[in-house]
Amino acid sequence: MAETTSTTEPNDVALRASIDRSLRHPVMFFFTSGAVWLALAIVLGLIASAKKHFPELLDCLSFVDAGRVDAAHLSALIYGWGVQAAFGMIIWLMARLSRKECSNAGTILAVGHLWNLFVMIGVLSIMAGKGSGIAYMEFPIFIWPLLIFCYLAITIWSLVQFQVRDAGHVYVSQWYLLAGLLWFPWLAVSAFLFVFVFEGHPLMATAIASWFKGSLFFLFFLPTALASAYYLAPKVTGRPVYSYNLALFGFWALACLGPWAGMQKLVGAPIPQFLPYMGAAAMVLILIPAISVGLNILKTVYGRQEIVAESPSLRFTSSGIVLFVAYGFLSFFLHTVPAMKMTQFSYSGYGLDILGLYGVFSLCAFGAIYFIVPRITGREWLSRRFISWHFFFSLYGVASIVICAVVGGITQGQGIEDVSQPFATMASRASQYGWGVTIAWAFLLFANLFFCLHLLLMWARLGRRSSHPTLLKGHHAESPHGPEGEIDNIGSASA
Amino acid sequence: MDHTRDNPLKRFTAFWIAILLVASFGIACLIVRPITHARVDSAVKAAADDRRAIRAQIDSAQEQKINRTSLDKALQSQAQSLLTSKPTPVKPQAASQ
Amino acid sequence: MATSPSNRDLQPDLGETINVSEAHAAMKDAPTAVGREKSLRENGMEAVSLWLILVSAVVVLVAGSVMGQGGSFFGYGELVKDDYMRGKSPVKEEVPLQPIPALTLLQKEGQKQYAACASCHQTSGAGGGGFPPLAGSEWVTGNTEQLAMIIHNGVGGPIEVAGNSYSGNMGAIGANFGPKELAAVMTFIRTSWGNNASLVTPQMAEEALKISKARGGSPTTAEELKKNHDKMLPGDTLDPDTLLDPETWEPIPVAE
Repeated sequence: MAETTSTTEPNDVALRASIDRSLRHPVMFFFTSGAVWLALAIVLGLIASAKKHFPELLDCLSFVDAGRVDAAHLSALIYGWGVQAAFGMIIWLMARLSRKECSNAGTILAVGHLWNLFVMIGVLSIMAGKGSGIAYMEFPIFIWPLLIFCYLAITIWSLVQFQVRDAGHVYVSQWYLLAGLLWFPWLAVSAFLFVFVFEGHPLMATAIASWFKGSLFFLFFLPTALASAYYLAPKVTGRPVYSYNLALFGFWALACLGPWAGMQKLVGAPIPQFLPYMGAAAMVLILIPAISVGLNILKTVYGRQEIVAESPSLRFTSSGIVLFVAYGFLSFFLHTVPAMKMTQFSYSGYGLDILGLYGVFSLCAFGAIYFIVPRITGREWLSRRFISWHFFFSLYGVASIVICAVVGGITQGQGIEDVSQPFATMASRASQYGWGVTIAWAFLLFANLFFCLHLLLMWARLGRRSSHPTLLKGHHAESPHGPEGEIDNIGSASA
Repeated sequence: MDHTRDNPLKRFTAFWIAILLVASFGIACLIVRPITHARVDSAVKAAADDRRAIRAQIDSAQEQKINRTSLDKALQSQAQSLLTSKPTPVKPQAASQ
Repeated sequence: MATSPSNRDLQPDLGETINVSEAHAAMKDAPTAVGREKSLRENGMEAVSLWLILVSAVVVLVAGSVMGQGGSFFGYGELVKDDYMRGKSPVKEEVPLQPIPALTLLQKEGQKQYAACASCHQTSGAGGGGFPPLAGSEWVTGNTEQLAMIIHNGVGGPIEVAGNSYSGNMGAIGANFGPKELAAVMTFIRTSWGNNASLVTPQMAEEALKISKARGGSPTTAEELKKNHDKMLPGDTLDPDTLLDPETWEPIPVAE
């Protein structure tokens, strides 16, 4: 097929503009509030990580006790940042791909505020000590039905848009979006009912809670990230996706494997033994969709490295996909039986989770945000430097966290297995890696403060008015568009 | 009414189908639950019954071994003699043992 | 191309234009972000690479081996892995408990049991306040059977101890003692505070318990003790320096 950039239909531009205009308020709100939650979650993560090796930090304040701040950190990261960024991406992507304007922007915005309110109540309850104590479901019990209701009120419009889309081919991203939109309520409703509502054996409630934890990433965050990557990679480079069959294969592989993952955390627990081993096998097999999607998207951008280097959205997205392949490999090695034995009660699982949530999902979300925000605000990003710092510090931060956590976890595991040594020996070995993780969170905080600031400035309509995008490489002194920021040259661009 | 793919009826039905779909997840859980719950409940209860039987065994064995009557008698008689005896000051003793 | 719209009309900011269709018309030509976008095409038809299939096959094999460790598929009854056995501790053999001389062992245990007696007879064994002393008492250092009867059944009525007469009641404080506890407390009081009598072994204490049981449980009196029980308990005497196993209280066999 022709690889040259297509000429843009004039109608398309008008349609895109009207779609962007219709949903600019809710999407911008989700991204901005998500970014603020992200900064807060990273601060909490910094404290949580420090508490693991330096428990005297802030021990006068009971609301940042180790258990509470860790739970608050993950809850803020997932429900404050992750789900809201996902909402913004889903709403915008589904509207664009269905080519339908959003007619319920007001409702979505109002419910979005409610979502923020409930998450805030939840995080404050956790820090006050009323958390439920179940990983990834830390909010007090009454919050869950409210959150599920808000989720439905926000995303049902996207489902409706999909149903009334113009006839034609359903694009790859739409499969992922539709699947993710329906998987999340299934996960949330089932987990909520079985863990909190039904009376049953407490061990099975634990198993289902850990299933929720694993599947939430694979069946909601990952499909959203991949939908965005499958949209942005061809769009920014102007080339077709490398292989349709591979995309199909990757999607169905994820769909089949995702629901099985999660229980591997409970290897050795007195639950039916096949459950955690099935979870571990699924985590091993995740390498297959990871490689497929990675191959597909990276091959799509392969010949256009200069675009990857220049475009912030593509750079973040391709890094996210590279980290997804890395996630697949790490998961493969960590879930073989000897590795599980070594790392079950260690930092390694945390490192893998952060690689998924931050390395894969968040980097793809940043890519989407850097693409979407100029379109819905009509302004360009203010500072190339902010974007580059955001990128490099994020990458350093997440790579450091993952490496320190995984290596530290293995060292911890060796220490635990060595029964002739007291526990303190293992703990002191691990604390060195704990310091590494804490410092890496500091890098991430630095990166995201810049991002949050940048996004807030854009939200305040202080972005650059320009015909020229903010690209990461130097100014094009000899570009026909003229130097960056020059708005008087608009006339010459329409040649 | 507009008979293109996008019309209010289609939007309406799509909305309610989505609601129904999500509700069906909850309903499926509610249906599956009593089918498996009975087994779970009785398993837990059976284990609990075993535990209680063992506990009862231990308690009765301990009761048999402990000679409550003589212990009570001893304490009673001791208490009586303490009650009737006149308290006298204890002289400081040389180092014992 | 139509006449180029004025710069103001080409501002990317739609909010400042009142006429929407004009703004849209302007948008068509304006190189704003939306105008820059390329269209999506997704019709890449590259074949799935063979390497991918081979790598997937390897991954599936490894996953299968992990799954195989989990026992039978959907086997809800299996809560523990097959032939799971706790590994042998890599720590070297525990050092066995050191044997202790008999006197030390019995005194240690006896002192613990004596806490029940100390409330009346004092920790110094001096008694006082109507209670007879144990230090220098002929009942303590004398024959073991009468001492055992006193401890196990209590004693009432007038009794002469170390030249003084006492009339009170002692309860059967030792009613629940087993042979080890009885032997220990008797040894303790017989060898403390200047008393220097022989040790009482658990075997002797067992005999004492049998005699006590045959007698019934009523408290004794001084006359009965002098009449019926003024003898040593049957059993082999124990040298105070014999080394005993601290758990079984059996003498350690000494190599010749």
